[in-house]
Amino acid sequence: MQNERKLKKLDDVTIAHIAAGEVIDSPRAVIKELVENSIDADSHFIKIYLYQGGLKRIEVIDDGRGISHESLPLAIERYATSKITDFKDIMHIKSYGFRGEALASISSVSKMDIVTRVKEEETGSILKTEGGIIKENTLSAYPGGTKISVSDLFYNLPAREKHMHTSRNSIADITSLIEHFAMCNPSIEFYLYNDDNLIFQHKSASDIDESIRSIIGSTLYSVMLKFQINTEKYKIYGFTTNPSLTRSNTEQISIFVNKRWIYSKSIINSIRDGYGTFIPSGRYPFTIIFIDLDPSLYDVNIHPAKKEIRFYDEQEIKNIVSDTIRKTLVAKSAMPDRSLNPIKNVRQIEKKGIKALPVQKEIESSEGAREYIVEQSHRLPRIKIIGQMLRLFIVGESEEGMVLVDQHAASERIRYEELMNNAQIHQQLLVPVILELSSKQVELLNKFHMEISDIGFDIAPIGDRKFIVRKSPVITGNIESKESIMAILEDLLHTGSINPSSLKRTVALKTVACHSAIRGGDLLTMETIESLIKKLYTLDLNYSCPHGRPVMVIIDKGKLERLFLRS
Amino acid sequence: MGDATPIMEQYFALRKENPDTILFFQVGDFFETFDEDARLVSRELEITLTSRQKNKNGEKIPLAGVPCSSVGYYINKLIKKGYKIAICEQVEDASVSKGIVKREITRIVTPGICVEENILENTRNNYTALAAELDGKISLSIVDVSTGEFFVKEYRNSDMDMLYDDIAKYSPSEIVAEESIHNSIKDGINRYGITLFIHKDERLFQEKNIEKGFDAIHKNINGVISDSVKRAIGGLAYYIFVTNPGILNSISEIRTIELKNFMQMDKNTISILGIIPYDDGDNDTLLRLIDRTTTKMGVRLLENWLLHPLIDRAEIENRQTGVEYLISERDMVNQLKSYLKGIYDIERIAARISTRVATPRGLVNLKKSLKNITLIKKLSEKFNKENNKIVTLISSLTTEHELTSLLEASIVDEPSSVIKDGNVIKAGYNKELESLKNIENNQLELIRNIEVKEQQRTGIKNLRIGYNTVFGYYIEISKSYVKHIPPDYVRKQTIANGERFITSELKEIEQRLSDAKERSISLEMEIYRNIIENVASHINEIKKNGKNIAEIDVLISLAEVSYENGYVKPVITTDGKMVIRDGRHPVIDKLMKGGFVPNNTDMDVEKNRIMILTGPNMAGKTTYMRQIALITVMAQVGSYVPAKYASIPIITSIFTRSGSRDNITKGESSFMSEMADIAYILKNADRGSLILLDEVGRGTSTFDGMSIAWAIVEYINNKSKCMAIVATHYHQLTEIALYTEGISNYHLAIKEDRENIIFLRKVVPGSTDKSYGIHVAILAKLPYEVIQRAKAILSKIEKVDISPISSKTTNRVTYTQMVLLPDNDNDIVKDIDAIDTDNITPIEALIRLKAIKDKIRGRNNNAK
Repeated sequence: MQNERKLKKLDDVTIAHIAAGEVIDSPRAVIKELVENSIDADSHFIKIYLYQGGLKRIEVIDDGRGISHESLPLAIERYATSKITDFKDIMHIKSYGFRGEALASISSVSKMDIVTRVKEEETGSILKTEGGIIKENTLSAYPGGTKISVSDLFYNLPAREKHMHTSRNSIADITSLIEHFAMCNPSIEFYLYNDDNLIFQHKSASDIDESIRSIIGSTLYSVMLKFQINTEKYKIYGFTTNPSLTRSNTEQISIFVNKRWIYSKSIINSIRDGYGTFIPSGRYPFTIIFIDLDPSLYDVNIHPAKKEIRFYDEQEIKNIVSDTIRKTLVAKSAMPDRSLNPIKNVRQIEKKGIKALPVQKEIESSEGAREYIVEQSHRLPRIKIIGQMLRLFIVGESEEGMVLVDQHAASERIRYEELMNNAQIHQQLLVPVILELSSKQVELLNKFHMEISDIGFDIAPIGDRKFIVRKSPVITGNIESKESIMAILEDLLHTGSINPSSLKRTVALKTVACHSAIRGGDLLTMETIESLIKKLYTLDLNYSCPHGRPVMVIIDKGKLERLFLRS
Repeated sequence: MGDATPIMEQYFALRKENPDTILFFQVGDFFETFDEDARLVSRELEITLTSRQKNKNGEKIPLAGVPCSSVGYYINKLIKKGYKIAICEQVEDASVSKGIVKREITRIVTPGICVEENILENTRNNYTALAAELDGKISLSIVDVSTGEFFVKEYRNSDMDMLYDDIAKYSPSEIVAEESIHNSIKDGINRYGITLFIHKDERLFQEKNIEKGFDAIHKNINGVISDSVKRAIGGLAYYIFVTNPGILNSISEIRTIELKNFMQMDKNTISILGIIPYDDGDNDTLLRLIDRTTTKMGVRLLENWLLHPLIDRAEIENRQTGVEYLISERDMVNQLKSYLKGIYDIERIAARISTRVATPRGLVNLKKSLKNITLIKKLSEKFNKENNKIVTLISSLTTEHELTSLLEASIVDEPSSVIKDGNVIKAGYNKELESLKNIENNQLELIRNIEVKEQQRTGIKNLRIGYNTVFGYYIEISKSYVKHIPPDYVRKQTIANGERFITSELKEIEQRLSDAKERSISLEMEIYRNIIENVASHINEIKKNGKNIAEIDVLISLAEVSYENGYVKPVITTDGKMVIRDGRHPVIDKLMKGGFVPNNTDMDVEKNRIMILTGPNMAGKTTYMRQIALITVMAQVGSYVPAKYASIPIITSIFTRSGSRDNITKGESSFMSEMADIAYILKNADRGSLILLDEVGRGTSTFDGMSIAWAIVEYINNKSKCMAIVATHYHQLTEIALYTEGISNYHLAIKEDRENIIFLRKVVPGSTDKSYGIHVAILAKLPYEVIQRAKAILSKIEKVDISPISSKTTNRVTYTQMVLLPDNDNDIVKDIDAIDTDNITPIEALIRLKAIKDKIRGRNNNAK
């Protein structure tokens, strides 16, 4: 009884810390809150300066309405906001911030300075705070707008500070955040600097389309499909990619509800549904979608960082979204789009992490569409081998339907796996090959001599910049030509820096590319086919062949039947 | 000396020819210095001093040497200290010469005359200057041998200060002055406190040498020149001729520094305004701010543009068209920038080619640059009817297919750095070279076959033929098999787990290989020389391309900065009105990141040309003045400016005088030198000038200073008739505006907040009579008692009017004046204090009041 701990109400500072922790957990969160404030203040430009990625200092400068002398000290108090006056207002929220917590939270876990001036006042004010306590509140000259500096984030919460350093707070995340703000606020200019280097700049655009184009680049923009639908309650519009460009995760689906970037699993799912079988399962498109609706139709107060929302009539929205997406794809895919694989475009698009997987899709027009949709499968089902066809494919039957295997791709795949799994595979060259290397290559060779020997090369100097190759890594076959060895070496040395695992991979690729046992056009015996299929069972065919072509394709039993108009 | 060894004889002979240089004498792989040279070099470069035998008697001579491969580094250090170096190389192959190897001085390197790679600072020009005198006129010639630019200018005896100023502006690495003017130039430029190596060299001022020099270079001269200019040109050309004659081939057209074509700014102004850095630490300059160039040629040109703003409206607007185009065509800019990344400093490469010291890598860089220039040129296909400076520049680029193909075909993509290491000429370019290479390859194959053969012969499976640079070729046998070696194996080396042998067959092959190698290297050298000759014939096109690329680079830089910072295009006018709305100081604005308070400016050279600016220190007067000047400079360079709107009249010269201590040149602190500066300004200013005077008259007594300041302002207004901004602490000066047309008062607004003052940084019309000295002292944290005492004294001082005009003026403005008057006002205070307000009637109070007022009026009447 004596040791009973008494209940005590926590003091405000502590409350602030705790609450802050919910929302402010990283520089990114700070930036998000501050930028939202700037947008709500009707700014024409917003400049964000990061120092050491925001860990040292974050400055957000805008030319918005500013904060008056009177209001400034209040600004850092919890629940003080200019955006709502009572709870009813939340139902009609049009501004980003409304909880009145952001500045309070941020100031309580950092050293925050605010300089600001409203037009009506002759001078501006400076407010300096540390850990939520006001240290200085004076008048100052300032052109107009607000500048907020946040330094030493979490200096008073060591645990969180440590965590912050290890968590993934990359510049890329922050850049993506600002990009999203820029996308839905086309008339505002955004500037993002890290250590005084400009890393992102967005001048005002005439509309959202223009804005998006300047952010994602004209190349990607030109292959996006635009969609739009207006109903009584909703206005939905945006861009999405052609089915041949997909990603393995949902990171590139951006959803904006009333110009607020949010996460909504249900919308993501409904977009995915819209694609249906146009894209392989487990793959997702690159989509930017704007949903504008009356604020009373959803609740934004369910997540501390306002990251998620809840629609009151979720099913309705989901249906509309997936429907719109599907209709758009069908309409735009009236012609099979074979032309969409220009290599240079793909490379640029792949920078965004989207893989261009060639997927067969012959989709006829929406009139009684008969869809020959095929899918890439990931594991070889139990199949009964029927035979070889066209000297190119192995045909088989499985529970699901018809299985077609590309014999060359399969053999390459198998060989590749073998190479990757093998420790050392090298062959003594019948006649050693003499190579002449450039001085740079000589340097690299000397530097990575050990790694290159590990792969299976035996290279020794035999003159001035001349080398003799006595052994090289291959499985079988005749790679004795100078050219092929040179090609392998060149590839290795080309990047200028070699790491052992990619080394192996490169050699394997080159070897495999140089020769595989089974080529297209080879007539195969049953034994060969059986052994090939047997080896295939063990592999996960997720990655197709090393050159990106599919190894195996399954045509669904049902589809086959429909082809023949069987029901 | 007697009985000197042959090599020493050779050395001494060469030594005599070049008395005032350090002789670097090549011996094999080293450059050696002897005697006094060695002592000097050892001391300056901190290398070991040894000795070698100098004559047959066994006497020694001091020696200090450096390896040939790193000689550039050492040359660099020495010329930075002002020394000249004569490079003496072995000009024939040591293995084939009979007796001692022939040696010649191939070139002399001086601080200014230097084209060696890796020595010059890439981002600045490196000038050599010469000053000659004739009949009271002095001519100055300036050359940058690494780029070929050559200027001359003539000065009258009375314009010596301008001469010193120009010398200081160009900051040559060395200057040679004629005997008669040597000392005065030396003293004159000491004022500027810059390091400058000034030599005497009589040869350069002898008539026959001047003729020789002039002849060599006169083809580059257009128009008529005076005799004194001729002397300067000839003298400098002769200097180049005796130092490194090849350079003469790369000299461009000689230009007189036609100052009339550019805005004039003296060195003081440039330094005070912070346009370019003069010291290493200077980072907050205009140049740093707007430098987004990609090539070295670009940044040099940008510095040049900043020092020479244009004064022709059409030319300025022409540059603006380029900047405007680039701002709107973001894609074009990105493309251009990516191509520019692949363009090297071809101006300097060209200079090295013409002096025949270009390295293989230099040629490869030239090739890459030419390729990228072709790519840029291709962009012109995208222009439909565009017509702007960028289009013009890109169209003027020449593609040089022939040259590019030659370089592509002949030079290896990654050559060795020195030609004598081989591996420079591409395979297939020369038949004879190919056959030599084939011999090499054949021999190697023989070696390979031998390996197989010997393996079979000896039965030792792991017998290998190895190679290293020390021992050459060998047969390597591991320990266990050593017993089985055949008799014809000769042991060469023992290693940890085996032995290495050689056979006569192997030796033969080795010999053949080494012969082939040697021949191929000397053949490569010959081929290389021919290629250089060929390339040298294209020097002019290369340089022209270099110039155009530099301009494109600079315009891109201006466009990038303008775009990022939201600068606005200035309107260039001829109506003499300067109008700026929300102008900002470019450098400080950037530093303050949004906290800079912008200001307007309204001046008119006809009606409203002088601005008197008052306000306490630290309020922002200096910043405001400088921002107007910098905006003008930026506008006349062709850039956009930091403002919401700007209409700039063409300014032909900017003069500054700063009484405050920022950026003051060393050694100047006296009122005397301030007056000298003002004299210079008043002498040289004309209608098109902009004068910035910051706190003049500081160094003397108040009355003198104020009077002088007043007179100066009147002079500028009446005689010079140009725009001026005068920041002053003499509040009396604001009265000038009351009776003179064309002068306006402005001050920096301050807000008082109880004990504190807040600098609003806003420039507003009108004058202020408060200097807030005490407030500023509080901010500076002067001790409390000092502040209190100051306040007390201030309150006792009677405000006295010391304006030079009579009190007829209806505006009685009063000014603070630190003149102490007798302490007899206290009685009035006493009178007031004595009034017992609780106990007097209203009428008595009125009477008392009147009495006090009478007293005051009487006091004032007396003071008149």
